[in-house]
Amino acid sequence: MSPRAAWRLEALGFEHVYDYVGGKADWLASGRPRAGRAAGEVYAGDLVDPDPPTCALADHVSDLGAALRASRYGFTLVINDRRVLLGRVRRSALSAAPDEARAEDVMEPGPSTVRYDTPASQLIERLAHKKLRTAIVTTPTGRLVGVFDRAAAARRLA
Amino acid sequence: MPAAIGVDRLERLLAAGAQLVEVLPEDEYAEAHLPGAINIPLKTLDARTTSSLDRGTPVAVYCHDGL
Repeated sequence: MSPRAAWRLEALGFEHVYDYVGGKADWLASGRPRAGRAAGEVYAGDLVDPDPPTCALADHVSDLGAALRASRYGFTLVINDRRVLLGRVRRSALSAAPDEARAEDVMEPGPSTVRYDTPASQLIERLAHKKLRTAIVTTPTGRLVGVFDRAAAARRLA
Repeated sequence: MPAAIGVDRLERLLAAGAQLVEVLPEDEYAEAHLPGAINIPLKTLDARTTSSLDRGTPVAVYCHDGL
């Protein structure tokens, strides 16, 4: 729709026309400010822990142990230098891994994620239905926003 | 020729004073829109409905997901 609108504006004499192709879906999913009736809706991204345990692909398993033991989620997230989510290393994956193994060797690649603008109340129900405690929230470009903890989010919405 | 842009470029344009137009139907605009956007549904986009816009100032348009 917006490409046609952009061409129409140009035909109407506008000199500098830009088409934001990602549109409203992209804007809302990246957690940017919003206006309108839904401005007050609480999104999953509004309630995340923005600083969950993370590591890099090349980090040695021997260096992940302490962070994983301290993690309340039981996992650490593998990200790159642009904070793009690449995988997840669960605590249980470390027990059988040799010390020289790297995060890349033991991670689950491409864990499931949800968008920032998923309504928090819906996500709580979805996670409860699947008996899951957490969800990972990313932007449309795959950058880690944080970890949504079902119980913590429910307490904040109560 | 209209230029396709991403969110970073859009934010720079808006910071520099660009005009922003959502071309979705009115009810979708009312539900949620980008701050500062005005609503001119595509089906009504013509010389009259755009008369309040400055033709010499950059204008960015968007819909739900560009389709």
